[in-house]
Amino acid sequence: MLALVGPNGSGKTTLLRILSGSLRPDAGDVTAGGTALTHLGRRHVARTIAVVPQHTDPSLLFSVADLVAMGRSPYVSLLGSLTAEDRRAVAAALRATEIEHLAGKRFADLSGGEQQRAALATALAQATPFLLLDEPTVHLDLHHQHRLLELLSRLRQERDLGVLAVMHDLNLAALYFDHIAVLGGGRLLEAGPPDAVLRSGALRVFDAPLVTLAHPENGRLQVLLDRD
Amino acid sequence: MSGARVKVLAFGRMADRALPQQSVVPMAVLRLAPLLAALLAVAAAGILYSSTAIAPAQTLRILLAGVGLYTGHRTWPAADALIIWQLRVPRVAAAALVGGALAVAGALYQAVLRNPLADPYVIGTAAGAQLGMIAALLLPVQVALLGFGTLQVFAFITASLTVLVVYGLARTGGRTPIVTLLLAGFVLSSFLISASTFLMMISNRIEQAMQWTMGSLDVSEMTQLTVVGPVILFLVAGSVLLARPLDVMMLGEEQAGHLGIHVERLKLVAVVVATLLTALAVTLAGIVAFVGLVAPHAIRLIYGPGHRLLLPSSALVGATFVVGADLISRVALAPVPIPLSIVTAVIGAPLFLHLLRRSKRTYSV
Repeated sequence: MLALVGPNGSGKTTLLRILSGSLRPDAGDVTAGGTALTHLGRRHVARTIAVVPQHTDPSLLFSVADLVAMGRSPYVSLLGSLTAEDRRAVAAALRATEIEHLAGKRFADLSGGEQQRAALATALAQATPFLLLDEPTVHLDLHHQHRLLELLSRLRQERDLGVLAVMHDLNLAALYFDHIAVLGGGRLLEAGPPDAVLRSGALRVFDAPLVTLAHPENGRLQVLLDRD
Repeated sequence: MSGARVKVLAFGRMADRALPQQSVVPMAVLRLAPLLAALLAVAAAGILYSSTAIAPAQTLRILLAGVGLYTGHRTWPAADALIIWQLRVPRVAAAALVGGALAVAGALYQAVLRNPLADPYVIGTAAGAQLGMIAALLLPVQVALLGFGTLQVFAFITASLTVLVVYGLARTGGRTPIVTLLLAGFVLSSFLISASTFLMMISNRIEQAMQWTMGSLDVSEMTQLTVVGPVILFLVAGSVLLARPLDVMMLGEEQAGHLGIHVERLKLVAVVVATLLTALAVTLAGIVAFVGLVAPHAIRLIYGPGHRLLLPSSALVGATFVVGADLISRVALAPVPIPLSIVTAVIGAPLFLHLLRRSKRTYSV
């Protein structure tokens, strides 16, 4: 479970878009399981990598069930009827994100946290080995941040997912992810387990007075802003 | 027509949207049936009532005789049969086809352009058709193709060409950004309309031109219908194949790509289908306003945003709307016919405002 961190403009979102196939890199390749993405058809890529975007239009009037069913698009034929397997995947995704009780509600009627989970459920319904998330906690309060990241950790174990998330919050990244990559100015500066990365000089890229200390409860390294 | 609306609303509220669509076919039939019934009812009214009075029972007998289901004596004057079969039935059929085509075109454009204000003419079909029409009036060329006259052939060609040009202008690096498409459409439309208005003025053909732009369903040749009708029906039926990918497009183009949708291909196909439908409608009836804009919104309010139901439902509602408007245009100030676009605008504009107010309330809940 990898967190991609870095200051604004360091290229985190760009890298995510290249990894997901939205953007073509000027040089280099993205490979999944040994095959370059550009050699795979669009549907095949969609069966390999699922993306949870930062924003989903909050005014969508589709029901949650219909929205999550869109996650099955890479598997559904042109005439678009869902098979039993598709329905199972949708039900499993709703169960995993704990929003089964919301299946009949319209997306627009959900709270922000619930919408985020619905977006995650859509990606889970894609049944891909890899999951990419773009700043999944940025609009969530503490409660929902906690719930989402706990959910992500659990899902990653249960489904053996490869998870990569762009994170704006270093401390959340250090708490929940087992690998952190630091980007700065479009380059990869440091990558490794959180403790190693937070102790390295890479955090200088944030250009802010920082103090690194151990979390009093669990001992993991956390970063605090310092004020003179 | 308001009676039909109430019927439709009742069915919509009864529907259970809680479960993921298990088997969509039976439910779709349940939801389309009242719309089809409304269309047939209004079409019947359109055939029964007109400026020339023919007794309803007589009309019914003539209709049955025409399809070979009448075994009694034929007691009516030949002129009546002619009026029914050569004038009223083709006219009502044309109205239904035009309404259905424009409604589906409007729904498709609204989906592709992700803009609720999109109507079938937004990227240049109307402006192009208008220029073609003026060119047809001014050029010493006479064309007759499949029952269509010079005016109609020219209008079809220029309407389609304009969208081709707009699409080409907006396309950069293998992608066609929606905003560029809208802007190019707007700019080219303005230019073409200015050009055609100028030509209209200096050629002194304003009255003739206005008559056409206001929409008219005088179908002079049955062949027009037998050619255009099946094409429109085919395109409307085929558009349902685009329904699921169009739904996914509502998540945004990038996310749709992540879900395996060929976004650029989808946009191209949807624009081509919508443009053909609009060009065909314009060829049959000139510019008919408001149908393409209002019908999809009305359906979205009742049946939700899913395109698999939205497209055929909009077609039925659009058809009903135009058949009804045509009836009103013929009968309201008989024997003077009101131009069709005026009727559709007078009914459509308040209807659209009403829908807008209702949808605002829906969003704020």
